[in-house]
Amino acid sequence: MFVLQPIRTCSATCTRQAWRSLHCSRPLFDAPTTKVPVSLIAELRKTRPVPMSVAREALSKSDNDLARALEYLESNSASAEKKASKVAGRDTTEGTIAVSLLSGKRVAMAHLACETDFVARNDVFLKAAKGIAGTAAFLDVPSEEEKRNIKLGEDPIQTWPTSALLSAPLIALPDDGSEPTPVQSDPTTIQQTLLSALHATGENLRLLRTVSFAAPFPSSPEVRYVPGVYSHGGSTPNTGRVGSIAVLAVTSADTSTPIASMIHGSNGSDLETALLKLARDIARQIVGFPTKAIDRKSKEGKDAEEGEVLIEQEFMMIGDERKVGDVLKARGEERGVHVRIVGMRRWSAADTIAEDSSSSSVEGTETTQDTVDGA
Amino acid sequence: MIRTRVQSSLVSAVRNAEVSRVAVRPLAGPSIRLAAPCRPASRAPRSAMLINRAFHSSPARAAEPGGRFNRSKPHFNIGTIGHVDHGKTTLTAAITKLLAEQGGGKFMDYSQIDKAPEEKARGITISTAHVEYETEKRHYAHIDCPGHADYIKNMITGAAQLDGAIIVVSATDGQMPQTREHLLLARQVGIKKLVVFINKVDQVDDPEMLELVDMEMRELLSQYEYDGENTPIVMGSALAALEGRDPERGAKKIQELMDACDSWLDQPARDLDKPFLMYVEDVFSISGRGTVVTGKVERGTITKGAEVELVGLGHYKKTVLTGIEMFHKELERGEAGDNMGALLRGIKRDEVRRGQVLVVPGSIKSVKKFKAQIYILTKDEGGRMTPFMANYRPQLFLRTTDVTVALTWPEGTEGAHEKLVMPGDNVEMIGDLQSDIALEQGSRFTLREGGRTVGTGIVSEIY
Repeated sequence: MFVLQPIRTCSATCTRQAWRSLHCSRPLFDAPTTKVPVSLIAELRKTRPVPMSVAREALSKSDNDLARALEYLESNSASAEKKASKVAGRDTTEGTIAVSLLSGKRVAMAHLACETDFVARNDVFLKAAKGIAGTAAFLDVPSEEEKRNIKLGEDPIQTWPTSALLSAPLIALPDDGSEPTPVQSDPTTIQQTLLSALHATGENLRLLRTVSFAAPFPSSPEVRYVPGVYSHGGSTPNTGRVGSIAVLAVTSADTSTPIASMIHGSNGSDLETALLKLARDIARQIVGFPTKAIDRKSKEGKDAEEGEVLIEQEFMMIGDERKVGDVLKARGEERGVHVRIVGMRRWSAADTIAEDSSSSSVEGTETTQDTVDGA
Repeated sequence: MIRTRVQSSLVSAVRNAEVSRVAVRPLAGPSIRLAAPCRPASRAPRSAMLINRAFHSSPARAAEPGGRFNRSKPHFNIGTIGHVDHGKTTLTAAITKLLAEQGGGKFMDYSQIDKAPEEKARGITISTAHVEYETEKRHYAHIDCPGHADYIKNMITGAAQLDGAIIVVSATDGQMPQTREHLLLARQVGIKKLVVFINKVDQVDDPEMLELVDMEMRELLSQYEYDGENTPIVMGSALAALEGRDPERGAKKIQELMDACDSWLDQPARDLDKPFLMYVEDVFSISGRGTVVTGKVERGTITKGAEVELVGLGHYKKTVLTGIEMFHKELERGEAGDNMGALLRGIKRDEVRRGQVLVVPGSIKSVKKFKAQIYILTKDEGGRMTPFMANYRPQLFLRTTDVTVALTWPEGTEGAHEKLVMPGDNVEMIGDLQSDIALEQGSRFTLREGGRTVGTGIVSEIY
């Protein structure tokens, strides 16, 4: 989100303030009498696009000091909260699906909704969405068990409780996928980030649903999990109208050489690159088709129509006429591994999400509702 | 304005219904007098034409008995673009109120505008408010779409073309981050000039703040290649106008806004005023006379003896139009809308092919490569079920032409090798045609594959 300017230890302002309190009998807080120069308002709005009247109020309450006005906006979210409660009841039918993939091991997908697709295309909004997805990928989903071991055959993708995510500190991830900078001493929470985006855009914003997957660490020698993400229809990478996560589980075909030693052996990095590329292509395939299930085993799979089951689809994304399942088999044989798709999600910003009383809007901090996949 | 095939049937149905009201042009002979005030119906959005006009019986203007559409004024499609809370609907209601008082249309209050039904025509949603009004100079159809995608889709399919727009900004908030998206949209749908209305000025006491809103807006306009310096910015209160109080900031400002629209927003050229163009449908050889090409005149007018050019499919051939024929009668002049036969001097039958165009020399180029905005139909609209990627090769249909086209991403597109196009998407792509055809900015085409329409597009640039 917005990089805050370091707060100046402004002796000049303090003196001025002292001077003021000497001269002016009127208490400061009910004194919008400070004339705010419009040039300062313009400058403040360039750093932080808050409404004109709010910018003036912030400046007037901080004696026309830009740094303090920014600080004021940061700490005093009363007007933002007022706005949030005003718009809380409005429909949020537009939005974006943001995805994040960190060092080939951790993935997350977040659905952030807004009111119009003008805002859905705006930088302020997209930055917030990307920040949420990045944070969800970076952090572990809080869980009661000490350590969660994924068993083969169960869905490895976890749903974030929205309340937990909202109170998490926003982790600013660099665009190039490198390690994020350590969390500052006074981090901005996702809730605050959303509130500030809501304030700037004046639209109701809601974090509807978030999922993430992290490959187990330390990794098991027998199974290697390879995640992939894709988002479609956005003007910037990793955000779009439709997004997907795919998780592949790769095991060695030869029981005497476990997958871990293959990855760390010669050609290991080549194998890893190929698997990551495959996971990405699977994720693209999931987005491209109205995919509802991986195979026919699950309940959704049994009811799915033709073309909605992933492994039965023609693998069009790599220009292959064979089915996805057959391509996986063939690719695996070439490399001496078994590749299975163990988890997937396909979300569209246009999905209607089963709404229950628990609101996940910026205001509310209750638990999230169950998410609906790929509808 | 060139219509798509998709739309033409729609419009022609409307036009047929109108035949009785429009003075029929004589089949032969000059018709300059009649042509001048008559504007082809094709550009008016469907809503404007289908509305059952319940005009007040005010004698002033436009109100003919039986709710007929008076064509004496030029028609203009105007839109409002702005943030949800900045008072677009209130402004629209205030405009209809003010102009209704002057006899230019019917007053529509907030609830009527806000509840305008979505219109579904052949699976293409036209979610435009059904509002129209008239000033002294023009007849306006007012369009308000909920979002970016709707405007783009309407523009590409030709359902509702915006000729100009009013950007609505609240004085209390000033421009917002998404105002940039509003201006980008206006650019994308081809709006050349805008008018800005700063609303809710009665809620701001400091005149300097208003100046700042004005200044910021002009800066932003210039950033998006609009004339920031000269664009009219009107400051008022739509609510005051609607409630009939504070005329200084209310009604007078609405009047000022409409005057600014009348004078600043340019009336688009009428089809008749554009250079002559006819798509060749058929070619005949008439013994003793020569080669005759037939087709429908898309736009402009032409007189017998004029120099013309055949363009497209590898040809640029100049010749002279030695005769015009319609309904087996000779004419001196042909014009937009006519189905005519053109007798060409010194042209052999095998030198002309269906798909070429007959134009005023130099008015159009024949190209192989172009950039276009394309809407890909969804499965429900009869389009594809599956996505496609770069190098997709459908058939491009443009009036009488059909050519194979290869679609790719513009240079510099991020992740072009793995980017998808899904049904329902609006995309900007580069088309490479197998053979050159006459194209220009604004040419509308459809994309077909295996006998079904998969997309529709509008050319934004030719190379």
